[in-house]
Amino acid sequence: MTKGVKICLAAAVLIFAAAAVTALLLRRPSDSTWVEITQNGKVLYTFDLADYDAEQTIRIESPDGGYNIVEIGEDGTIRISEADCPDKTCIKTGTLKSEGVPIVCLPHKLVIKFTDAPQNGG
Amino acid sequence: MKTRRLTELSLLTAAALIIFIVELRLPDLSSTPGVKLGLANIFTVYAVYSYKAREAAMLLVTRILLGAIFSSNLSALIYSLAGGALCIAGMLLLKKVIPLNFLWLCSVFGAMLHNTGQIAAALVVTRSPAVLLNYPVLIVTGSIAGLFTGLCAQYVLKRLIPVRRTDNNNESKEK
Repeated sequence: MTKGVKICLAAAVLIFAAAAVTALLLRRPSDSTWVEITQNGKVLYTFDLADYDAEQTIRIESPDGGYNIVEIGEDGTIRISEADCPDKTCIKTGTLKSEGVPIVCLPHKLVIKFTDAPQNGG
Repeated sequence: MKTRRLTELSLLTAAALIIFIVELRLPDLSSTPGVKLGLANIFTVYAVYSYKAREAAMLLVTRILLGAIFSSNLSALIYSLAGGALCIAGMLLLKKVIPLNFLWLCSVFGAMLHNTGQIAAALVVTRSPAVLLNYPVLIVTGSIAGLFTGLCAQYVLKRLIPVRRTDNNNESKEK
């Protein structure tokens, strides 16, 4: 084993360990019930999931054409229930569970994630 | 480029494409976008270690472009291209340091770089730092997938080297 290989091996192990630890830390369930929906980097909606006690859907049109239907459940869950993007990754992600795993629809540049509650009540 | 080489590269591209499309048919391993085995990477690593840099890069670009067209998932093209470019550049450089016996290590780095490129492209496209949160998961699953595909390529190469040598000798005798 040459010196170069040893350095590379050590680097690979280090990166892997660091990523594994970070990934586990990010998997914790969120303590916040506030949710932020952003499209193309701009915030569209911010609201508290605890405020919803009836099912509701929001239709979000993409500026480039296409749509996503966001479903807020009565038990304070949020998911994308329908979309016309080609990969449907956002639907497969299911309900939003932890701060570390946002719902992302790359084709429509839509991100749904937990956020901190606003300090001044709005 | 000699016809023989062109034929070899075309065959490799075709095989990589087939394996890429077969893999698309498998159910998703995880809900995190981008988590996959990347079996077509076996051919990329193989090409990096047995062909010239230019030829390996050509094989990868052709596979990505045709793969995106055949899977009708053109919106994912920018992510595959960004990931692929970083992956092949990194592996071609690492090849100078890492010998054939540690090909799998090169493949692990290739996978990590591929995920890095994808995340970077996603950052540029969505302009949302939230996609970064997927990065650690992708690095972990990517390294495991890279290790697997790297070992596949390594075992194939080790068995093919004697065959290729006799092949080349026969060819030079014929001249």
